[in-house]
Amino acid sequence: MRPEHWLYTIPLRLRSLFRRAQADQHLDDELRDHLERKTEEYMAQGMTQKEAHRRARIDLGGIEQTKERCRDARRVNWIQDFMQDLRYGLRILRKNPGFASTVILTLGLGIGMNSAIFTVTNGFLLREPPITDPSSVVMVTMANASKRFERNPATATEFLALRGGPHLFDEIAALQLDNLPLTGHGDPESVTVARVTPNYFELLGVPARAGRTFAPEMTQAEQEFNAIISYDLWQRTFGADPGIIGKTLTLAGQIYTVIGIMPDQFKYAFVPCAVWIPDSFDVRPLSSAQSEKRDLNIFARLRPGQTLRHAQVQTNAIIERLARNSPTNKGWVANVLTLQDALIEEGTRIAVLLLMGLVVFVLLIACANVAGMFLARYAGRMTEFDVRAALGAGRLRLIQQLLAESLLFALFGGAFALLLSDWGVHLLRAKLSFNAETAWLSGKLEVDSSVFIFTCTTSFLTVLLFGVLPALTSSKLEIQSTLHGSGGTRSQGRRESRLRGGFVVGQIALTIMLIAATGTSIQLVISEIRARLGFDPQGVLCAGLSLPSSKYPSVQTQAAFFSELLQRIQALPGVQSAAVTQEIPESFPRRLAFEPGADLALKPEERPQAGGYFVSPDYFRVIRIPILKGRPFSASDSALSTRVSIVNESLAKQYFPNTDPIGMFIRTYAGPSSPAVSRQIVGVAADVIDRVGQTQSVPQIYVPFTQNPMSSMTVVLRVNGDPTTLSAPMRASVWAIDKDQPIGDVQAMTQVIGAKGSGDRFLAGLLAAFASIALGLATIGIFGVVAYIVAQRIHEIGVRMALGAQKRDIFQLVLGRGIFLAATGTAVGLIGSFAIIRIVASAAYSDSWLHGLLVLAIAPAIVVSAAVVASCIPARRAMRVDPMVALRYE
Amino acid sequence: MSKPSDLVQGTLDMLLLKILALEPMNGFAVSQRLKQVSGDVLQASDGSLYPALHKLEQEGWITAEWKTSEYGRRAKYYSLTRLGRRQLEKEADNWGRLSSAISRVIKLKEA
Repeated sequence: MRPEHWLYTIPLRLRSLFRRAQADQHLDDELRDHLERKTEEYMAQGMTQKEAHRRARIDLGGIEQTKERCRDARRVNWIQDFMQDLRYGLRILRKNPGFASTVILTLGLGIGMNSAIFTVTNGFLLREPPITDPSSVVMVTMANASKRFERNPATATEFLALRGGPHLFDEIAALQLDNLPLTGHGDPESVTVARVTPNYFELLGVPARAGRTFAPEMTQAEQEFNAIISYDLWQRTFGADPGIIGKTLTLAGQIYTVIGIMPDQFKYAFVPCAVWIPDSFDVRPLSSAQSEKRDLNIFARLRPGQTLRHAQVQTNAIIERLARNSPTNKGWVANVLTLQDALIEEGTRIAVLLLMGLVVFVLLIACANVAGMFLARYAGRMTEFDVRAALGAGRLRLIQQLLAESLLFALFGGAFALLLSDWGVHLLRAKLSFNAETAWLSGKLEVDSSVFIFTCTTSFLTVLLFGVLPALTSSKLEIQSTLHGSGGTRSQGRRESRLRGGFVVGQIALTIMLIAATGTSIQLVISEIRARLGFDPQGVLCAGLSLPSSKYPSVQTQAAFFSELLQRIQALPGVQSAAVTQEIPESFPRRLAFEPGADLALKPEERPQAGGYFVSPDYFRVIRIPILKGRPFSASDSALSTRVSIVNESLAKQYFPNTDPIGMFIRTYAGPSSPAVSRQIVGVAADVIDRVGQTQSVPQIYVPFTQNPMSSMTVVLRVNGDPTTLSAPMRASVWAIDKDQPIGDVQAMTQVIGAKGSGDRFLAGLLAAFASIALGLATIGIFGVVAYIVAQRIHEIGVRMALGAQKRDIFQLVLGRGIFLAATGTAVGLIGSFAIIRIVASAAYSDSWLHGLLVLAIAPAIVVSAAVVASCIPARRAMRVDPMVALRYE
Repeated sequence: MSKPSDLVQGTLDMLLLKILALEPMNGFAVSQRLKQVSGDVLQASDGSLYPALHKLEQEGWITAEWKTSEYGRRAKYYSLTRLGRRQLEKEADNWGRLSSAISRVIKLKEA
């Protein structure tokens, strides 16, 4: 039935839609024909022609009404009406360019810029590694509540237990990082090497760029000396040799065959490695020290349909069984984390939430603005709608007309927003490219469609609701009274103006809160960058050196090498001071177990741990860590003298409360089964961060490197001017001692920790952009409401001027209104921002919310000055009101 | 829309379909015929006739065509479509059921 029905009706609808003129002509003809016949009939009954014609017309009812009803029967009439409304709307838009552009600008900023900034920030914060389907890859990290470890790597025992478990995951792989010297290709260098289970690349779903990855089905023995190299290493060390596959490289004296090159972007997946070599972690007989070493990063891919929770429960069951059976696993529990959770810091998550909040804030402000503007315009068009209603326009018809107009605004605003968001993302992409990783990241950024749709929908609903509101309320009005005297209009206008004032006050309050939140975040970011490091990375050059054990078998030869190197480097022109250290701060140095006091004897697993730094005497001078008490190390602290150490402030406070730690003893353990070394505390150093983004102070212990020499050290030198100018002389000094010695990355310390810093600066900039948009929108809002008030009060201003008010009085009157709104909004906003600052501060870092008070002083100043500027323009217009014109106009 | 207050709602459509089922005719003739057959009981004004015809046309129940009449005038002639015939049967059925039900109720004897 239905298809046949459509067969008839669709052509009819199309005809009435596209042949409207013809259909109307036919309708005219038909009715005229009817009238003629009817007239003839009446005349035949004996009426005069005039009378007959009149009767015929009466019978037909109003001709125009009947025609309209016939047109309504066509069902598509509303489309034509709608087109007409759209044309009318366009005309209105052209006639009010100020209003139209303000609405479109507001929508553009509210939707477009908002989603652009959100897109970039979100993409930056929640970046995903370049692997296949990262959402189903998880990391298994280990936590130990009693040792306050949250996300530690696993041991080989734990990995093997998990892999041996009953098909726990689709695939499970482990990765162990190491630094090994690479020789035989130009300058010897120390490279990051990852030992991975052969299924690692399959699990991640990343194929080699050239050659192949490891074969999971092959035995360890079959591929033991195969290696896969990174794109960077291939480019840098092997000169992008296309025939590299099958050639060999030498790592720590062992020859490996290159079987594959990974793609360029793979370096952004987790830690950038130069070489991957296979390791099953189970074929070699593990010594207890090896199997308990906590250095395996476990990756797993969930089975299709397997939930994180499910995986978590199963994993924990296995780890718990392990912990029951072996004392070294006691207290450790497993956490199965999504890659996003595992790789993203806690602070980042808060930043993302904050960001979502900001989007909603700016959106609210934009919507309040649009709503306010439509309300004002409605008040101005009251008479128009009353006239329309009086002429017989139905309520639905009025709604339809306003809907068409609002839709136009929404469409233009939406189109502008789309342009703006696209442009904004492009602009921000350029800003985001401050290092290779973010440049790669920014290339992938596209406008976040879900946020765009969310902001778009919200704004459109606001536009449509407030655009149509007049038609919803107008039919309630007594048409008579509004059309008659002006009294009705004015009281209505006052109500509208109060509502509008309310919107502006709310807007200003939101802006104040936004500026407060932004200011606080920026301050926190800055204080994080500056104060929290605890050292000064400016003007410091770092270089990693790893001495091969074949050449430097004893600790004495190692120490001698570094001592000689330091002497040479200190003699270089431009070097202020130089030192070696096993780790630089923020690189998460190895843990050093210790016992405070000489008489305490704790079980190995109960010993507290500290960040261990093995340094040469000048280390504190080079990276400017203040010595708070006692003395720094000196050349006399040698392998032969008393064992000494310097502890940080946190350790001193925590383990030596109410006593002077200087002169006290502390016992350190290089490993769980190593003998204790009793060390006298000679100094207390200020805290530094152990790793980027660290928010709480942890104990740290410094030991002279001569008393605990190591083969891998980092040379740090403080330099006059640009530290990188010393790279070449520094390398030359190394090779002057040993021409085969590999040197790791030589870079400025700011560069080492820089990516994080510039990321924070970038985020702070984005927050500021959000706040500026909010401020801009609020300024538009104030301007709109004050201009509207002036328009409403033209008559009153005219009377005042006629009665002798000076231009200055009028100016003050108008300006006062703007400032009053700004002040009220500020007061409300301040109350809100006080709460917000505390939330932001306590969410991020517990102690620094007081900084926000400064922001609380600045925010109102910014907003009130914006209000003054916004009110000045309409105030000047009011000043120029000609009383004669104003009064006659009424 | 076509809701003649003086006719039982919906019956105008049925009457028009029935009239056009007999032979194709123009609007004026339909109004004449309506008056003839129903006498003065069913008063459908000309003003509601045309919107009703247009509605039936848009529903696809009747179709219109411009023809030259017996007096050499061009007029719009309406005729029933296959869909319209089916619709008429349905409505007549409904009407029959409704009216017999109503008359049964009316003829109930008071106890």
